[in-house]
Order: sequence, then structure tokens, then C-alpha cells
Amino acid sequence: MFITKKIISTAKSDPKKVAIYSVDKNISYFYLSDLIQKNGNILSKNSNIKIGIITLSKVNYILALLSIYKSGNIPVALPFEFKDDLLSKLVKRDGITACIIDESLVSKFPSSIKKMSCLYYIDNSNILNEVKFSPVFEKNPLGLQLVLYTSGTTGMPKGVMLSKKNLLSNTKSIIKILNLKSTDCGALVIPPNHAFGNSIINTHFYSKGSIVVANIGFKEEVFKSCRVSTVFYGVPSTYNILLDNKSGFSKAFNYVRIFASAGGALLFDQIKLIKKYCPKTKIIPMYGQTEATARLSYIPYEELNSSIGTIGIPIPGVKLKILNSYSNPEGEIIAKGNNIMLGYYNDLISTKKKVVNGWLHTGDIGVFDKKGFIKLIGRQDDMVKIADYRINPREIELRIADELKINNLFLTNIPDKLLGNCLVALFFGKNLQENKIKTFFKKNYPSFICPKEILLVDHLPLSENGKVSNKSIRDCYERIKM
Amino acid sequence: MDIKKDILDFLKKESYIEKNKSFSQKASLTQEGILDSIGLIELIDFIKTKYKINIPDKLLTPENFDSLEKIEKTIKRLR
Repeated sequence: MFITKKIISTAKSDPKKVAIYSVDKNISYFYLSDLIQKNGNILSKNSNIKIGIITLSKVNYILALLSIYKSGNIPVALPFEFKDDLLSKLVKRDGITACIIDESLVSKFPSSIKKMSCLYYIDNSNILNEVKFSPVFEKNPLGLQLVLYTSGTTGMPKGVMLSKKNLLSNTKSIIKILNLKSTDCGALVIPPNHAFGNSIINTHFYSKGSIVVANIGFKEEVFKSCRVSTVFYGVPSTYNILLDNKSGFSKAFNYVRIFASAGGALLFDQIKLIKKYCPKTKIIPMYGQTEATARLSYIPYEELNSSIGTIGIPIPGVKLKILNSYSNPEGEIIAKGNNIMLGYYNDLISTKKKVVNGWLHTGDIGVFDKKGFIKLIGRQDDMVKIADYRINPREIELRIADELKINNLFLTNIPDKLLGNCLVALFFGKNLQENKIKTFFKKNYPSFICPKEILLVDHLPLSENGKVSNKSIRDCYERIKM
Repeated sequence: MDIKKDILDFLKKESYIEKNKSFSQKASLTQEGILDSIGLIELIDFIKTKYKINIPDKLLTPENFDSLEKIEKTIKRLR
């Protein structure tokens, strides 16, 4: 795998260079290379099998990922933020029988790890501890290198299959647009098991640079640790959380030369504040999807002022088009390039809908502006973005009806100061079981997906033509709030 | 005033932990998957309102807020 090869070669030429900075300890390239070779050996009794990763520690995540690559197996970045119930169904559906898990999380995922035939614990020592093993050898005809998860339309996240070509081409393109060098240190405060976080790991190690990890919940930890960073990455809510503290922000990011964003558009006000606090730093908003490995386009810094609200220009090696017509300039954005996924894991039907003749159908609706940049208009489906999670409120409603036997609960998104968007719920009926609903959300989803408000309504939130959509629910919510 | 109990009640009320489960005072709220980053922000907001204290950003570190025991110490110090 190209990333592990790069790390091992950097460890030979520059062994003392810090590869990963964290609050507890710094890991040099020599030590990192040594760890992934040792851990890789433990895993190499199997080959080409998919090995899931469940770690909250970002350092352990990086080590698990790289060790799996080194061992000739395939890392599967499990979406464990969706908790044990959903994860256990997902590992069963996708036939994942091997897993690396933070030892501190074992009691949280009993069902998910119960049926694993190979199980490895990892703790602060960063060395894998083999708990269960049985030999499995598989073939890898597709050249699958990594599986990342995205929210799907079936109620369960879909596995996005990425090849070496996908990962390498996207890595090289991102390095080019951000001009990443060995002197750069990328701040990884977002989850590493998503496409955005994964691209930070790939690009900085490929350019022989460093990464600093921190937990966004502890603001001071971010400010303290990220003083070594030269490129800071965040989704809009990351910036919202940190911009709250002016002196902390400007002091911590003094050396940062680029603020990069993805997972949703930065707002004009956020950009204004960032510029005010760190006037010399470039801001580079980027746009992409997991199905495109990570990135599809970016706004070059020189164009930022006139291009807020657009997705900018394609990254090198990517073509973007809009499926519009003479009568309607708006249409779905489609993309082609070496970064477009191999397909969804075990889901040919969805793959065929998503990738048609090599073109990725993003589901985003756009229109060209005067400069030829694509402006985002909305979504083709009812998906909404909460923080950097793309979710479908209709799926969650169905799951609630199915599992809690609560019907007539309607979810939609409204603007939120911290997250950009948050969910609210309307309930039509008697006996609103607010606690039961909240417990369901906290048990199954990341905490910010839980509706901020659950309101009772006296009619169904339908549109004029009698349908339920995010907009019809939002209209109803706004009428109540007026 | 039992600070640990207040915090535990909040975590249970907001369904971060199950009602009948026992919970160690030393357990790490973030490393053991109890709270994610937004959950942590909610908890800090709760603490600020409940105890009418101001928590400077520089205290927002794992040393001060990552377990019931540490939270109690921090709140007592700030009051």
C-alpha cells in the first residue's frame, strides 16, 4: 500500500521526524513504522480479509488502519458512532468477521464483536493484542483497498469500496491544490473514519509531513495541540465551536497557512470571522463525497470572495458536469475521475444507480454561475446534512415506526447556530413519548442527530399536493413557532 | 449538594447512559464512548447553567472534565 511504503521510507531517511502529535505523546516516523510493521505481522496470518476498526482514539485508528494495510488485508472504517444495534446488523450484512477495537470500548459493542472470528484489542500501548483468531484467506479480484461508510437510502450506511487508484489519485490531487509539503502538519480533529479524515491521513503521510490529533469536545486541547499545525481541517460546525473564542483561535492558529473545510458549505459570517482572527491565513472550502474517495472540487483562495456558495472548480483529474437542459439550467451534478469508487459493497443495484457510465451522480442539484463555477441549489432526494453526516429523515421515521411502534413522527432540519443544521420533530397523535424517542436517538445515533425539539401538532405536515417532505414539515414547524 | 449525582442524572435523563447501569466515577466519558464531542458541549452547557459558573475555555481539557470525579473537582474549584 502506497501510504505504508511512504511511511517506512520516511522512517529510514528521517527517523526522528514526528509523524503524529497528540496530547499524551508524539510518535516519530521510526516508531510509527516500527509499530505498523509489528502490528502488521500480527495481522498477516490472514490475507485479503476485511478487518473492521472500532476506535475512539485517533492515534489507535491511524495505527489500526496502517497496520491492516501493511498486513495485506482490507481496512473497514466501521461507522461505530451509530452504536451497537445498528453496527451488529451492518457487520452481519457485510460479512465482516475480523475487527480491531479499543479495549475501553469492548463493553459498548457486545453484539457487534460477538461473532467475529478474529478479534484484536488495542490500548494505550498501541500494540495489537490478539484475542481470537481463525485463519481465513480470501481473494481480492477488484483490487479493493479500503471500505468507508456513508449513509444510504436503505436505512443502513453503505460500504463504499475504494481501490488503490481511487485513493492515490485523490491523495495526489489534494496535495496539489493545498500544496502540501513535508514541513506541513495537518490538524485531525474530525473523525478519522470518514472520507474527510481519511484524506488528511493519506495526504500528509504521502507528502512526508505530520499530523496532529485532538478532540474537538475539549476546546483547549485543540487550541493547545494544534499550535504545531500548518493546515487546519474542519467541517462548518468545527469552525463554529472554535470561533467562539477569539484569542484562543488566533493564538492557536498563528502558524496555520490554510484553513480547509468540507462536509458542508462555510457560511459568509464564518469566513469573515476566520479572516478577522487570522488575516494572513488562506481559507479553502472544498466539496466532495465519500463515493468520490473524498474531494471533487475546491474554491481557489483568489476566487473566494466572489465564489462563496459555489463548489468552485474541479480538483485535478476530475470532470464535473450538470445534467441540465435548454429549458432548465439547474440539474444534478455528476462527476468523473480516477477517484470515483469501485461501487457499494455487496449492493450492485445501488451502485448502478449511483455510477452510470463512469459518472458519479452526486444527488446535489447545481447551476453554473457567470464565472462557470457551480452553485449548489439543493438535494435531489430528501437527504439533509447534520454536522458532516448525510442522513435521510424519512429512513429514521420508518425505523422509529418499525422499532418503537411510534407512527406519525416527522423529522426535518432547521438552521442551527452550532451545527449549521439540526433536526426537529413534529408528532401528530396522542401520548407523545418524548423520552422514549430521545432514548432511541441517543442509543442509535451520534448525539447531535437527536431532535432539539419535539412538538405536538394537530394536523399532518403535508404539502399542497398531499406529500410529506422536509420542506412541508419545516413549513409546519415554522408556523407553530411564529 | 451531590454534584456527581446531578451529572449522572443529567447523563441518564439525556439517555447518554442507561438508567439502571452502574457507572464508575473514574470512567472516561469520551474514551469509553459515553459522550461524543457535541454531547460534551451539551454537558458543559448544563454545568454552566446548573451551577451558575463560568468555565473559561482554558479549563476545557480532559484533565478537568473527562470523568465524574474530575468534573466534581473542577466545579468545586470554580464555585
